Amino acid sequence: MLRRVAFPASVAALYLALACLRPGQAAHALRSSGHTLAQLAIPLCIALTVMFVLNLFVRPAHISRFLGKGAGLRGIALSSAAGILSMGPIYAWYPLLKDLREKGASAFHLANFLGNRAVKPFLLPVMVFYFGWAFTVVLNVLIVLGALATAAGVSLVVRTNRGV
Amino acid sequence: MKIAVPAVEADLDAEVAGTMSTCRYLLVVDAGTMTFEVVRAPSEWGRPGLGVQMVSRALSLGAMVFLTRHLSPRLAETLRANGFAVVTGAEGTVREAIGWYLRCAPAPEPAARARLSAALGRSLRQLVVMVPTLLGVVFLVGLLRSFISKDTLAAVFTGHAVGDAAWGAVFGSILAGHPVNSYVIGRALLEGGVSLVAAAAVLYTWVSVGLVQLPAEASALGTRFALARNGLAFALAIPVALITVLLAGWLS
Repeated sequence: MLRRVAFPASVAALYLALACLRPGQAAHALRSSGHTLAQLAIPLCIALTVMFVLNLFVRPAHISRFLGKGAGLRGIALSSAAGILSMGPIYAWYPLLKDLREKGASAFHLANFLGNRAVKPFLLPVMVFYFGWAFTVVLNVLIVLGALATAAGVSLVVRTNRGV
Repeated sequence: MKIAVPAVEADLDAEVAGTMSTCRYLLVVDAGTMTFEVVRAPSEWGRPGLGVQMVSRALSLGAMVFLTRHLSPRLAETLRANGFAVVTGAEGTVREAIGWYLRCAPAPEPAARARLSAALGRSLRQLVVMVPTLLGVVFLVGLLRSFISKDTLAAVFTGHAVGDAAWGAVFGSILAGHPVNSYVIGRALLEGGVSLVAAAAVLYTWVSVGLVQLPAEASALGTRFALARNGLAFALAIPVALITVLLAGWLS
């Protein structure tokens, strides 16, 4: 909890210090931040709704079952879906990924999963609000394709390593 | 309902183990039939992080309740945040502990209502975890907007598409945290006169490349895996950012 509030508390301390040194600019910064927060409110409410729907229908145990199952296109689709639907900090997933690797999940599927974590369905309303529909759609499609390309590269590197 | 119980032996009549990190077996017991599956501790028994690893295995076997004598507050908090029940203070054998839990556990809510309240609770906790850092980033970006001029930003982001994408990728790889923070920073860069290519590179690398979590990834999946994945994702950030802006401009 302390670690969670350390960063915003440091920013608050910075504001206090700057309010003494440069009150005009600090007030301008405060107004600008308030404006950003007000703009974020509605997209964040939509994000919470999407998060709720995902939490209602998707569980971490389901996601872990997607990985390492099925070969070919099915396996790729499952590992991509698992990455897109996974939520929470990446640190929580490492023990599970290590375990899946020990059970035989391929480097390709694990790298594909990690790459697809950059697609955040529940944050799409925020992204659309900030950058527009076209940018959001194109970037997310390219993230999925980029994850596949990265996974292919990782698979090749890891295989080469084992061959040596 | 499946209940995970750490035990000193792989048997229902074995004693409940003291802590997750020192238990040799984690029994995943079906409370209806009292049949069970066993998660065994790996050979490197007793090392830190073992408890987390065993709990992950139990989750994949469908355990929804963790019944134990003691569980680290951090692990218990993570499990509860993910909708799993954690009950500490279990004594005696695994069979006795499960009997105790079934007698003392609160009456189950109707399934649909329980799922709704668990999903809502989990979503609110995820939002609460995200909000303090987001507030910090929003107010820090406000400060940077007031104190860093567009000329200073232009000295780094010169307007050269590839150079801007490369700088964006560097910032996105070094900085870490919830992805919503990268949207706030990307938007602030745009408002500061920086190109959309740089913002796209920040957004792409924020989650795809993680210098901060590189040691953890290397430890879990191997150094070669972690270096190759992060290196390739970084290299891809530049073409991805350029193509995104090109196609998005063409579509809109």
